[in-house]
Amino acid sequence: MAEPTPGGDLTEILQQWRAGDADALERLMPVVYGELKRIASRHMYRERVEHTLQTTALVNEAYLKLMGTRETRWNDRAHFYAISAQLMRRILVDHARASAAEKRGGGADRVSLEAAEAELLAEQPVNILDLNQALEKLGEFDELKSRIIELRYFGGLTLDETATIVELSRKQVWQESQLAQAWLLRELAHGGASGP
Amino acid sequence: MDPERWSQVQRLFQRAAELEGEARNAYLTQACADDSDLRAEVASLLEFVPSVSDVANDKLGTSVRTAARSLVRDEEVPEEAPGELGPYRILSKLGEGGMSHVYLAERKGEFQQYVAIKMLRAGLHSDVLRRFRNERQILASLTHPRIAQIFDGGNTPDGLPYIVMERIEGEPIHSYCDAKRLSVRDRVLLFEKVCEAVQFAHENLVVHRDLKPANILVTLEGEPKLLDFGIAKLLEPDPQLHDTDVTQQDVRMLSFSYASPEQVKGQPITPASDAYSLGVVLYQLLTGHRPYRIDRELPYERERIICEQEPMRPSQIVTKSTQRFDDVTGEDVAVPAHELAAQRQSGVDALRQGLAGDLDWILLKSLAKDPQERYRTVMEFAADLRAYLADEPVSAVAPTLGYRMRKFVKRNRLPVVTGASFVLMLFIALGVITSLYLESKQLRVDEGVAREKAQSRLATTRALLGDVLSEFHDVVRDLPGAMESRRVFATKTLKYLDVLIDDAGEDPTLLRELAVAYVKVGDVQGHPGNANLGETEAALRSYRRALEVFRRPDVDELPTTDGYDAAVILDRIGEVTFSADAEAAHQLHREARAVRQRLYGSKPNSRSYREGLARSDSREGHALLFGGHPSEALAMFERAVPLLRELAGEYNEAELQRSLAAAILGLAAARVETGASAAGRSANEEAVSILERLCAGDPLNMRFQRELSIACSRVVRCLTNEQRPREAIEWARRARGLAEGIAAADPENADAVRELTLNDVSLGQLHGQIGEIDSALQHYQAALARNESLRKSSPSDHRLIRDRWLTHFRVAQLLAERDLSGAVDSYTKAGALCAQLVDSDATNLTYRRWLAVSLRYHAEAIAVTDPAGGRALLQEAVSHYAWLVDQQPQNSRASDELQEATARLAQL
Repeated sequence: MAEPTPGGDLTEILQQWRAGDADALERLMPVVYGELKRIASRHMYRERVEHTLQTTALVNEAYLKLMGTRETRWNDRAHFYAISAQLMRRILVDHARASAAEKRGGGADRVSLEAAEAELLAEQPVNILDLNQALEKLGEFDELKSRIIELRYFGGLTLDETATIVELSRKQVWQESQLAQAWLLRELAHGGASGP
Repeated sequence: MDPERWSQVQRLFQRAAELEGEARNAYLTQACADDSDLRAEVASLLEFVPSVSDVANDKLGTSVRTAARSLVRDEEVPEEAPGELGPYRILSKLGEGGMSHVYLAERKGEFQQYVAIKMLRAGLHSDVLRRFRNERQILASLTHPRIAQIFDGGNTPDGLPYIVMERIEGEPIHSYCDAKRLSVRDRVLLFEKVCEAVQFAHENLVVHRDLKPANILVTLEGEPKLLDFGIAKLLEPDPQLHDTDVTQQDVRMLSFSYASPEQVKGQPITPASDAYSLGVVLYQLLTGHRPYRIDRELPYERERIICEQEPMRPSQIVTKSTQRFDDVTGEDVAVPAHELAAQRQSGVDALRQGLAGDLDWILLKSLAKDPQERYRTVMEFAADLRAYLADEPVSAVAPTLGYRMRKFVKRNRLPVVTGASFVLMLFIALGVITSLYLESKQLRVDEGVAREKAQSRLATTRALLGDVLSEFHDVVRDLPGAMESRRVFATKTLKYLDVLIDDAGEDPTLLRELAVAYVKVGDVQGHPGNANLGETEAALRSYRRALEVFRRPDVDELPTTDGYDAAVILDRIGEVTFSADAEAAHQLHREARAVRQRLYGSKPNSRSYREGLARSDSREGHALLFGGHPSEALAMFERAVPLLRELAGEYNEAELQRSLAAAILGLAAARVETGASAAGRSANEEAVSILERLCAGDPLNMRFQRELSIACSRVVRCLTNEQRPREAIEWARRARGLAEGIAAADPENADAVRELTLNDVSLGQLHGQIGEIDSALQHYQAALARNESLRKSSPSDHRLIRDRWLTHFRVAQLLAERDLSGAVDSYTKAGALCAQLVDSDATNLTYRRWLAVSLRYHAEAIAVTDPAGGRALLQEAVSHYAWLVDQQPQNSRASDELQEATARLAQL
């Protein structure tokens, strides 16, 4: 791992849990929480200081989503990270869907804010729902690449961390990401018209 | 997508991406050859390779970040309120909560009317308004002087739902009570009015769902008013429109500190949920503490705490100073106990006494985790509060036995041992009764509780405590495989005892009962006569605590009804000490025997004194035997055996039969040691037949099995001495089979495992005698391996050293004629072990003789190749023999052996 995480013994706890130690789950939760918080703060990294509290709100939400999958067997550390990243992706996509629905219902104020924000950005931002769709499409024929993208973008993991999880070298992960990014950007630029 | 094609694309892409400009083109031209589709595919992908790989800031990363930001932003409450809403003009902001802002507004028109407008956060619940319309009839009809009236509702131009309600000027109930320094009684009076309002709402089928001090205001007139009735339900998502994740998300919006377990678990909410929240509010009002502290940072902790953590009794918690979260400042403030008491016009002790009893039970009942165990309705809750105020009996009592048992099992996560679940039940009962006892003690000192009532309760619980303790032990003692439950029993029970004995004061009867309980725990921890945990030090601690009590003159004067006295404890300590320090143990038993003789002398017809003395004699006999004084031992056994035989005849009790068998075994050993081998064997055979009867009568009793196994081993020893190895092997196999069964039934029982090693040693010897060398060595090796594993848990146990010595010595004897260097090696090990034993107890005649014998054989083995070395060892042996003869001039065996050794030395 590129940096130490509070859950250094996560793998051990996961193994204990798998071995039938029910208490391990209790020990696991703070770790999971810490990790999710880390993910969220990465998203917020460049945000205003005032957002600190909202980060917690985001993580709370991520946590509650996580608790919804309590029955899921986290096979190992890698699986856990994948789950966190997946969760984050799901949270964001769900929210985007919900607000899109709301917009259709007539939240004029909201739309204008979003538009103003968009103008401030040099490039037209990629809609998260489109990204999600493209990622799904990528996953259909290259699951590894879609997973790496999920881990890096939604999980907020570094190259090294991702490499550990998918059991590839740093270089290989970089190569996989590069092609995945290119493919996704092309897909998004062409509005999903062309196949791979 | 064809996977093969895709991997081809990937290969080319990777290589090309590393190249630039012309080199890249040249590579693609060469690599794609005539496949122009492939080239076009790779080239189009290369166009999109990000110039900088910065996951946080590239186009994809920006997309994720924007989504995250939008999610966070939508959590925010709108900042600006509209100036007007329908017929209302917004004047100022009154406050804000997690899901709404509240504004003060006035109604436009001829007469001035102030209202509060609660503006809800939009975003997640676009159907709030629809539901509000559905329910407004109900909410509007909820007209009660103590419930804030809801007038109207609507939709802001931005589409945010709002609710117009009666404006209440007041203070949250807890700060009101503290500011007015209301007494506990006045707080209960005020709170009872709150209950009445909640009950009214419940009767109108409206559950509040979010009761908390901030929603219970007290007006300037001192009347409580409840806000936001039914609002929480409006805010709850419609299960048909939202998936379960959103439901859970909503949990976050509740005021966790007051939420009931079913609420945080997302289970159906009933009036009992409101009753629970009211319980939390009252707990806080009366004690100044929350029933549990919830860290707002950790949602999963919240859920766990709310669902599992039992609140401390109010009367207990008020003696503690604690950090309290201030809802207004959002900071933790230290509030000392005396200050909390002062806010209630009381001192800490008076407050504790005022809460102990009825209010404790009322509050704990209202806070029961299971709605079934709670007040089902707020009316019942209020009725109990009224009963308390009127000094009438309340319906809430000390939680029922069953309730406590469940809690206890849950709290302690007790292992349920197969075949021993009734042990568990007994143990639970112990916990229950201990708490009941402590409660009754509490009652005794509380004012306002009838003295006789308190006294009788105390006596009852004390009796129960004694019953449970005695029953527990007698049942658990001989169970096979009960080690784990015994371990749990010992550790948990000690906790209770340590609490209780500090609490027992100068009450000799109770002290005595507790001391007996300590003895029983000590037995489980390390009494070698029973299956035990091998925790010698812990056992000694328990026994010593008991001994302190039994040595008190006031306890000594109590009539003994259960057979326990100082002598019993002294014996126990001696038994446990024995393996580490035989001499000290002997001393303790002699002390015990002196106590017994005094008691017997005072009442020679008392069964327990007769029995006690007989046992003491028998024990003294065993000790003498072990100390190498067989003739003195014989005298003791010859006194003990007839007395025990008499008692066993009078009382048909297994325990007496067993003691008789043990004494007969001792008698047999003493006879053998004094040279009467045949008489010894017949005594052993008598012991075997007694024990066989006992085993047949109680086949699950492991102790009987174990002693039968020992008795068989003794017969083996006699037959061996009589040079009848084949018969001996039969007996030895029988003994080993029994020992194996015992060890298998309870693998943690160290004594059983040791017994098995001894059987292997004697089988080794016997097989050696009839020339079956391989079998012999196998048995010895098995013995050494088991000995090694035992040694790890009790390294200082001399018996284990002795066993190891014996095994090595026997191996050496076996090898002496076949493998001289192997034999010398084993003799060396044996000698070192024996020297270790002599070092530990220099006056022990047996150890000394073993050392001498060991050295003598060792010398013979060495002398074959190294006569000088042999002489040196033999010289050493002779000096030990000489010491032995010096110690026991009348012992013919010692002097014979000395003579032999001296003669041999001369030959060499």
